[in-house]
Amino acid sequence: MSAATGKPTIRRVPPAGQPLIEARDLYKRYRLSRQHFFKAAPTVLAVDGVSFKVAPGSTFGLVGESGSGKTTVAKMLLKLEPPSAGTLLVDGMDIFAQDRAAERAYRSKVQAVLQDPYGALSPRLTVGRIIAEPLVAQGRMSWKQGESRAAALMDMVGLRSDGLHKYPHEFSGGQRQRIAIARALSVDPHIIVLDESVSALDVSVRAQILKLLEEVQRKLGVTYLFIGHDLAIVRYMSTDVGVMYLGQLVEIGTAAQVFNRPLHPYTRQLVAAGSADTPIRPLGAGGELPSPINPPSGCRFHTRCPHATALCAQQAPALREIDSGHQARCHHIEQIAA
Amino acid sequence: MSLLSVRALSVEFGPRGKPVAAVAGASFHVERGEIVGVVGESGSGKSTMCSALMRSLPDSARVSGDVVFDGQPLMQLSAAQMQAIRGRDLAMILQNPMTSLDPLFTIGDQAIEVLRLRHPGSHAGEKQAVELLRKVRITAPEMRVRQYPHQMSGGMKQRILTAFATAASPKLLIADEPTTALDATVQEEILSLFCEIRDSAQTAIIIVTHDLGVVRRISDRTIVMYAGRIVESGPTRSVFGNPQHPYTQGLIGSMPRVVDGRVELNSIPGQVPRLDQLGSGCAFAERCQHATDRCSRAMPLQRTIGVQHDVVCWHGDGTPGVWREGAAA
Amino acid sequence: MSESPDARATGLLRRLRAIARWPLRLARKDGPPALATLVCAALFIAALCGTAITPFSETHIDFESVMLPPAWEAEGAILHPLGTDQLGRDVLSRLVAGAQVSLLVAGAAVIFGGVLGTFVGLIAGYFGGVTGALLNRLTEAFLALPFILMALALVSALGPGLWNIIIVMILTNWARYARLVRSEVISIKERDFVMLARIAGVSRVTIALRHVLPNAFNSVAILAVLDVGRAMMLESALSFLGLGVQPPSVSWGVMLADAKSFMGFAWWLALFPGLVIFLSVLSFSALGDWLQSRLDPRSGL
Repeated sequence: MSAATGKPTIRRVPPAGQPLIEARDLYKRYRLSRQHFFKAAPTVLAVDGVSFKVAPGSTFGLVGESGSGKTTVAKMLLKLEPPSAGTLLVDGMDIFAQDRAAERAYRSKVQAVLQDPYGALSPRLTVGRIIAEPLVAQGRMSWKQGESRAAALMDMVGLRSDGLHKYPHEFSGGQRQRIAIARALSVDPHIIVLDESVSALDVSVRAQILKLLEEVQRKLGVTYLFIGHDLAIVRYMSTDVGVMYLGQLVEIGTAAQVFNRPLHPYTRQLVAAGSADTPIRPLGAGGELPSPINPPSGCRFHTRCPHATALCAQQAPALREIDSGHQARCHHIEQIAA
Repeated sequence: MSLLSVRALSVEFGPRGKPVAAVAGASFHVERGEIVGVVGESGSGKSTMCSALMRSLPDSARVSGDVVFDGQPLMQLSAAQMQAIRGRDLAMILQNPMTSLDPLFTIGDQAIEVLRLRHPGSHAGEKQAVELLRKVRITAPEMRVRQYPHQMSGGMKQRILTAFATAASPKLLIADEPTTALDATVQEEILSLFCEIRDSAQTAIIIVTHDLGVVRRISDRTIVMYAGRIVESGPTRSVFGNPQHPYTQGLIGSMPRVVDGRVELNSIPGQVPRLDQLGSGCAFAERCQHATDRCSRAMPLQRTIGVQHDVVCWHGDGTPGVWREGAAA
Repeated sequence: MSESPDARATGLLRRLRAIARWPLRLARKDGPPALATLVCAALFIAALCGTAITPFSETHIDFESVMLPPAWEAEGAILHPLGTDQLGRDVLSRLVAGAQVSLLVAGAAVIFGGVLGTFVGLIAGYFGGVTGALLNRLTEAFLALPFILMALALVSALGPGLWNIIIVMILTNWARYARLVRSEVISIKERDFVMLARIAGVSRVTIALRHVLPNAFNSVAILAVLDVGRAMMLESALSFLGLGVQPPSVSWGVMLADAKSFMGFAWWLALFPGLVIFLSVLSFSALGDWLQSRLDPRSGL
């Protein structure tokens, strides 16, 4: 960060070829409260063997519905929850095997912008303090210095810096999200986790924020983990995409691959549901989303899949590569594509 | 004769000297068996308008205008007459399915309550409740009637609420943001359900939403609202294919779409003005790239530029705009 | 990390202004209920000035003017507007002196009990774990004990007197704050801005003090205002039972106790203390209600 102008500097590019984020076989199991005295507490496998790589400066989109586990993956990347198994590497280092100092340093590497603009900003702090807080918390600056940097950041995200002394409730949803982005940028992070960061905003405001995020990435080379349920938006923002269903990655590839030629039946359903040209089918074709506590046997999607066979109920398919980096988890990909 | 005919509907709040118009001069009509989508963002007035139709606004709201529903002047009906219509001929599904059901009673109890209200003297019981759930394709309805709302998913709750609302086969159903809190695949089911309701009972549906994709797929006609006013309305294909109002164009452009293999997105600069700070001219003028002096000074008049396609803009004249149509992303 | 003293002063000033802005904002529209505010204001003035503003001190015995009824009665005297008691002591002066005691005891109970309870609740709710569970059990234990019994036990251990009464009130009061704050904290903890503070690297203690506690403050303030009235009533009850302040100190409860024997013919000796207790408690309750309606809808203001 340039002390002279207070403006963040461009990221240095790490050694070519090495992914910035690498997830290897991540698992996360939660134990729920005991329902019956004599039975063991039920567990939920929120994340089931998820692996992916994210190149520096790119955006990795994670798509899925509620219960898919995508938010849990985000929490692991943010070190809010440790995985039950598997490793998560950032810049080649296992983030769950860090000492105190490295852990503190990690907080300046990864920041987040969350879904709810009304809950993300502490109601009793001024905007200047909210934006400057990460800097002060990490011991990089005093409050006064932090607040002047906050003014520069507000400019960068398209807000007037005279709002420094205002309180969050004086701003609209879109403006609050900009404040949240400014706060995330304050420590010059390498990675920003965007968890449904535009879902709660009006359509036109959404577009503005997406363009802002794009611009920030262009100027600063930040890497994004972009989580969403709106395919069009994920497609717009992402370089690579992973589709999750009940804790598993069912499809992964570049955005062009996954959206132009979706392989997995679930992805195909999502793509069809998101397209304005799809006619509305008569009822009965769907089925309920299974409970994550009691996932279906074999392929988790088989209860809702129009192409399911007996094999699908018995044997869980593995993620296999169909086409240069494009992988899908299904027994019958070739038949479906045909 | 239209099922619902609304003329110059206005809803005002605040002191009489300085009123704030949540809805100003809305005029539209809904035919039997038609699905009309009302699109708008925060502050557009779409939800207030629907509450005004149901006459469920607080006493502090001042409603004016002409509303004729099924031949009856809706605003002049007495409370008792309104009570008779509400729930039977005119039904509404509120925004958040999560909180619309009473957590203390089983689904069955609530279904029976609704059925007895809709068909007084019918002594509806569990059997009828099960049938009601079956109508909206809830699996294992015999089990579901004994369960409590917290045991249901959002999609199921929405379907149950839709079932309650359509129990008496209303002539008009108003659905306020029916798909907002739901996952994509569940949205599909709700939309299918609406189509089925329309087909089987000739129920007209007004869908209020900010999701343009939903409106595009399901509605026969589209109404676009901005800052309390209707700025464009017409057959869906016409409104989406040849949007005339710059706001509609901007809104459609705000959805990512695939053009020549690339995904494009345009944004509208600025933000929605505060309703208490509107001037005398077009509310969209300050954000509009085509705006002229006249736009900020005088409120544009409504113009018909196509088959039933109306737009409220000084510049809308039917020629296709700058915005390009592409396949939705 | 060096900041000029000027800068620090401006920062402090700004923060003080922000805090001061809060009650001012309250005073503007939807003002507090007029009568309640007047009564409370009168109480505060009485408590502050004490018998300096009354013609007599509360212990001034005057056998010439024993058992005088209020001034508007036949035998009353203007000098003793509310009458005198069996020792010729002026009732009005004693009421004012009693206000001092009542407000002091109630205020101390609420403030110290409130601060203690808030911190216990904060620790129990935010940090949780074994400590939290223990603190929670402790809170529940204190809540389960009946007030009068506890007061009796403590007074017999510590003896009566002003400060001991204050201690008793604190010990019997803190748990209500602890319970309230703990439940507020547990729900605030889950909100996004707390998670984001963790992500930003803020230490847990700082999060608790900077983000969680201020947002629980509204509920605590409402409870505290309602509590003052309750505390005043409890102090009166204790004093009435003889467990509170001892003569020559006077409190409303003591006045009531004294009046018991004379109620048949000297009705003014019981009426006025009782009326004052009633009005004070009612006023604080009304203020508390008003505060609640002002603060609650705008959550986290």
